[in-house]
Amino acid sequence: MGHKITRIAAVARLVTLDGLRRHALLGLVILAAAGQVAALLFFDFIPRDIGRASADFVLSMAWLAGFIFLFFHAVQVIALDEEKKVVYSLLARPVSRGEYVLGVFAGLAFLLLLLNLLLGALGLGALLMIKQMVQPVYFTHLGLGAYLLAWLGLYVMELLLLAVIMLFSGLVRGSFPVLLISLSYYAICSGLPVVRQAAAQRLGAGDEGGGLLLLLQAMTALFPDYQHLDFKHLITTGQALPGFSLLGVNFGAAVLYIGLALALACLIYQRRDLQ
Amino acid sequence: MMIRAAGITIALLAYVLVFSMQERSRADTLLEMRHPMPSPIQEAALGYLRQLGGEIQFIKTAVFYGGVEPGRDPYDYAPQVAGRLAAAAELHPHFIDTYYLAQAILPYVDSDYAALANDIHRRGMAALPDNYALLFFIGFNNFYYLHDYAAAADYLHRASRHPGAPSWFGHLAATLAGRGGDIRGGLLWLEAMLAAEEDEYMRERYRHSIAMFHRAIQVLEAIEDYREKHGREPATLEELVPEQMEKLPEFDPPFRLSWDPPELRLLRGDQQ
Repeated sequence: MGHKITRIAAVARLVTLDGLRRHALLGLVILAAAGQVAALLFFDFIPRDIGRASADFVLSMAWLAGFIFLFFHAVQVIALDEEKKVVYSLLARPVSRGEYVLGVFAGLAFLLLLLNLLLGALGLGALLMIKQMVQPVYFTHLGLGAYLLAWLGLYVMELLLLAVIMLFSGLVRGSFPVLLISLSYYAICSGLPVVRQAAAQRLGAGDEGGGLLLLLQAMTALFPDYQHLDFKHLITTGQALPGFSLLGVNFGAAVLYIGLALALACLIYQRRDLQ
Repeated sequence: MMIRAAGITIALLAYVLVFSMQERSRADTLLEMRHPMPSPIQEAALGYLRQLGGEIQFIKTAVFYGGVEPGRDPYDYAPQVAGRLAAAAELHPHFIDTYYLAQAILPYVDSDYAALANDIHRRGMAALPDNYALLFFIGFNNFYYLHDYAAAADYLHRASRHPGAPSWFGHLAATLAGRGGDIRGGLLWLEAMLAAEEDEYMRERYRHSIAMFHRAIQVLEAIEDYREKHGREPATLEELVPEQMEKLPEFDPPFRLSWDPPELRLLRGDQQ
C-alpha cells in the first residue's frame, strides 16, 4: 500500500510541476488574482447590500478561475500525455494504469488547492478592506468560519468536476471531445434542479407526474446538484453554520461520488487500448 | 513592405473613422434596455454564478435608470425594468438592493406596476423574513397606489411586530385598518400597542385613537342592529338616530366617519 501511494505521489508531483511550468496557468492565476482585487471596484455599484455582493463576487471569480482550469487545462492533461506518448514512458515504470489516473487526479487536485488557497487569501483580504471602507450597516458581518466553509464547498465542487473529467478522459480519446462532454455534463448538473422544480410545480404529486419526478430524481444521482455545496450566502449573514449532520450528508455524498467516479475511471483506463 | 504598411495604415484609419461614426450614432440613440432571458434559463446557465448574475441584473437596471432622460415616457422602459428586477429577485432573492430599486422605480408608473413591485417584494419576504422594510413597501404600495387599505393595514401590522421596526408602523396600520373598514381589527392592534408602549407621549396618542375607534364601533354596532331589523343598510348615518342610538358620536379632529354602504370607515384628516 505504501509503495502504491509513493507511485501515485510521484505521478502527482510530475503533473503538479508540469502545471506550474505552464505559462497559460500562470496567466490564469494572475487573471484570477486581478479578478479578486476587482471586488474593490465592483462594490462601488452596490448601494446597500455591499457585504453580500462583495462575497458573491469574490467566490464567483474563484469559481470562474477553477472552471477555466478544469476545462482548459485538466481536460488536456491525459489527452496530451497520450498524444505526446508521455503515458508510455510513465507506464513503462512499475506504475499501474489505475495509479496513473489517481496520480494525475491528485496532481491536478493539488494545483486546484494552491489556486484556491491563493485566491482565498486574496479574497479575504479584499473583503476585509471593503468592510473597513464602508459603513457597518452596509457590511454588517464577515464570518471566517462561513468563509472557510464556502471555500471548502467550492473546492469540493471543483474536485467533483475533476473526477468526472478523469472519467470522461478514460472513456473518450482527444481533449476536445472530453471538453464537450464535460461541459454538457456540467450544463445538465446546473439545469436539472431548475427542471425538477418546474416539473414539481406543474405536475404535483399525482400519478401522471410521479414517473417523471422519479426519473428526474434518479438523474440527480448521476448529475448531482452542486447547490448543496454552495455556502457563500452564509458569509455575511451572521447565521449559525449548518449542523454537522447536514454538512456530513452533503460533503459525504460529494466524496463518495468522487470516489466512485475515480474508481470507474481507473477500471476503464485499465481496460483501455492505448494504441 | 511599403505597400503592406500603407494598407495597414489605411485599414486602421478606416476603422477609426467607422468607429467614430458608430459612437456618434450611439450618442444620438435613445438609451434602451432589453428584456432579460427568463430567469429559469439564466439560473440553469449560471449555476454557481446565479447570485452574481442577479447582482449584475440589478447593476444593469440601476445604471440604465440613472441614464434615462427626464420626461421620457416610463412605459417605454417599465416592462424591461420590471422583467430585469424580477429576474434579479429570482436569481438572488437575498439581495436586498433589488427590492429597494424595484420600490423606487415601479410603483410610480401605475397601479399595475405597483402590484408587480409587490410580487417582487413577496419573493424577498420568503428569503428575508426578518426584513420589515419589504412588508412596509408592500403595505405602502397597497395604501398609496392600490388603495387597498385593509391589505395595507395587514402588511404594516406585520411589519410593526418586527423588533427594531419604528413604533409608528403599528399606529399607521391601525389607522389604515379603520380607513379600510376593519375598525375592530384596528382597535385590537391599538390596544396591544398601548399595552406594550412605555413612552407616555405615545401612550396618550394611542388612548386618543382608541377612544375614537370605540366611538366608531358604537356606530358600527348600531348599523348592524339596523341591518338586522330593517333588512337593509341605512342610506345615511342619521337614520340610526334615535332608534339605534340617541345621537351620533362626535369625533375629535382629524378623525371623522365615512359611510359608504356597506363600508363604515374611520378616516383621518382630509382622506377620501
